[in-house]
Amino acid sequence: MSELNYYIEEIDRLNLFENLSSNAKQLQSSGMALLSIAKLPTRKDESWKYTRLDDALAKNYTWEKIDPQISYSKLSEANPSFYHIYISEHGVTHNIQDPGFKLTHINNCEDFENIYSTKNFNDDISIILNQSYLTNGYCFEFSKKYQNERPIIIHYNFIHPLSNISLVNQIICEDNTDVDLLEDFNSSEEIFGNIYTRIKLGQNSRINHVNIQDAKNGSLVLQNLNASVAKDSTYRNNNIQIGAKLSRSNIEISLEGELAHCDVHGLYSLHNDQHHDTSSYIHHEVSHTTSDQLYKGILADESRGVFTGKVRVEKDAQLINAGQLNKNLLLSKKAQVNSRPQLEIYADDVKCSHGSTTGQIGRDELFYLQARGIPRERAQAILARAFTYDVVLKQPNLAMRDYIVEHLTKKNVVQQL
Amino acid sequence: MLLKINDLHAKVEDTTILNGINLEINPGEVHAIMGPNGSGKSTLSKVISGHPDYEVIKGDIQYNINGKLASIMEQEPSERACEGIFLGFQYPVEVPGVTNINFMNEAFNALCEHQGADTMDEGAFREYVVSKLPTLNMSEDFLDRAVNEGFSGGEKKKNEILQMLLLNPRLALLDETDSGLDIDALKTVAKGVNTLKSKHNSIILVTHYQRLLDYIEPDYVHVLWKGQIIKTGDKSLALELEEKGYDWLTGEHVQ
Repeated sequence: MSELNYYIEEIDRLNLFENLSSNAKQLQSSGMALLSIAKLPTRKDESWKYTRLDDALAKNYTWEKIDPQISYSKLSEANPSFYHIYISEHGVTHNIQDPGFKLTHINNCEDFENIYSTKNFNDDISIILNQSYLTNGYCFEFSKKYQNERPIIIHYNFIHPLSNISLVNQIICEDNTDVDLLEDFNSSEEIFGNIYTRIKLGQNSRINHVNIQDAKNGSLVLQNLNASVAKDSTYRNNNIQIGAKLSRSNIEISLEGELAHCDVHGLYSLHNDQHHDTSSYIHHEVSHTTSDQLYKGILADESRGVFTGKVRVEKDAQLINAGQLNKNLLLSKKAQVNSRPQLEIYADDVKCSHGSTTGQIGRDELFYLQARGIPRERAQAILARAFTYDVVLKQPNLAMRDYIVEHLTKKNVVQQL
Repeated sequence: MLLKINDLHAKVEDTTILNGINLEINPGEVHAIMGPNGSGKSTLSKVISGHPDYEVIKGDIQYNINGKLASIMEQEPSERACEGIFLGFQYPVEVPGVTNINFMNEAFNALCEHQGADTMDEGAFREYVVSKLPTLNMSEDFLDRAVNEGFSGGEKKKNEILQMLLLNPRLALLDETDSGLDIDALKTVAKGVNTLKSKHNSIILVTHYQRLLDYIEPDYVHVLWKGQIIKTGDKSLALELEEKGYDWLTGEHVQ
C-alpha cells in the first residue's frame, strides 16, 4: 500500500474544504484526482533521483487547520527594524499599516486559477499534495509604486507534533514596486511543512526575497517557489536551508520580459542525517534576460545534499547571460553531495556558464588557524563561516543579512561576522 | 630550559627529512638555524609546531610547561600554540572570508581561555592591535581585510610578526621570515622581532641568508645538513658561511 493512501483518506475524511470558494474547490478537486493516481517518486524519476520520501511520509502527519482570521496588532515587542506577519494555527497577526499592502485569505483571493501551473515541476508530488490539501493560504498584494519602508518578515510558528502544515501563498507585486520580504519557516516540533509560494512580479519592480527553513530536526519540509518576472524587473532570492531531516526546495523562475533578471543564491548547511535537495529551473523566455545562481552547501556527519540546477534558454531568447555555480564543502568522510548543473539552450547567441566543485576544508588553512591556538573544531567552524560568506554577502539589505547571520550563528554554521 | 629536542627523526610521506636532531634552547636565547635548500630547516619548525603532514619516527620534543619539561609529541598544534609556541609561516596562508581582526581576536582569545585569563571583545582587542601597528609600519585597514588575501609578500610577513607580537609567545619559530623582503621590509620585520626579545622569550630564526642576522643578533648559529645539525657556533659562524658558502662544512658542493 502506498504511503499516500493515508493522506488520500485523511482528505476524504476531513471534508474541510466545503467552505472553499468555487475556484479553490475546483483546484483542490483536480489535485485530488492527481493524487489518487500518483505514485511516490523512485530512483527512476530523474527529478527525484537522490531523494526518497517514503519513510518520511509514512509518519502519517495530521493535517493542521489554520484559523482563517487575519488581524492587525501593534506587536510592540517585535523588532522595529521590520514589519512582521505571524502565521500559526491561530491565524495571522501582522503590524503592517500601509494602504499599498493588502493581505487576504486565499479563499478571498482573486486571480489564482493558474497558481499551480508550472513548466518544470509538472506531476511533482509535493505540488500535488499541496493542491489536494488546498485550504490554508494567503495572498500578499503590493499595489503599484509600493516601496517598503522596512523589510517584512513572515514568521511561521507551528507547535503541534507531527502536524501537516500545508500552505499556498501568492505574492503579487504590481508595476514599479520595491519589496523586501523574509520568510522564516521554523517549528518547535517535528512537522511536515508543505509550502507552495507563487510570486508575480510586475514591470520595473524589484523583490528581494529571503527564505529561511529551520524546521525542527526530524521534520519533512517541501517548498515550492514559482516566480514570474516581467520586463525590467529583478527577482532576488536567498534560500537558506538549515533545518528539518528531509527537505526539498523546488525553484522555478520565468524571465518573461526583456531585461528581467533573477539572482538565486542559496545555502544548505546540514548535520547528522539531514538531507536537502534543491532543484532549480531558470527559464529565459525572451532576449536580454539575465540570471545568476550561486548555491553553496556545507555538509557534516552523514548528511547529504543534492543540487540540480537547470537553465533553459528558448530559441528566440538571444543575448542572454546566465551564470550558475554550485560549491560544496564536505566536513566529514561520510557526507555526500550530488551536484547536477544542466543547460538547455535553444538560442545561438547566449552566454552561459556553469560549474560545480566539491571539496574539504583546506589542510593549509586549517593548520594555519590551529597554529595560532584555535582548536580544530573551532577552526573548522570559522572556515565554514568563511565559505558561506559569499552567499550571505549577496544579501543587500543589512537588516535581513543580520537576521540570516543570527540564524546561522544559532545553528553554529557561522560565527559572528 | 624551554625546549629540548632529542634525536628527532621525521618524515613526510616516504621521505625521511630529519635524521637525529639534538637541540636545547633556554629562555631568552636567539638561535639561528641555517642551511642549504632541502636540508630540513623548514621541516624542523613545522614538526615542532605539530604540522600533520610530518610524522615523527623517532626521538622526542620536550617543552617547558608549568616549569617542567614535558613531551609535546601528543599535543595538537592548537595546544602547542596555546602553550606559547608560535610558527611564523614561510608562506602565510590566505583565508578568504575571515577578516584579519577576527582571526587575530579568535587566536588571542583561544590563548586567553587556555591560560584562564579574560578574553577581549572586538572593540578592546582592536585598540590593543592598533597600539602594535606603528612598530610594523602597518595601517589600520589591514585589520579589516581578509587574512593575507591580496597582501604583498612583505605585507604577509609583517602580518605574521604582528600576530607574534599580539600573542607574545615563549618560543617563536620564524620560518624564512626574511625571504623575499626588500631591505626596508626586512628592517621593519627585524624591529618587530627585536620588540619580542626578552629574557623570557626565545626565538628560532630559520633562514637561508646571513642578512637577517645583521638586524637580529643570534646567540647561537646552527648549520643543518641532511637532517642533522653538523655545526654550531656563535654569530661569527654566520659570517663565515656568508663568506665561504656551505661547501666547506658539507664536504660537497651545495646551493
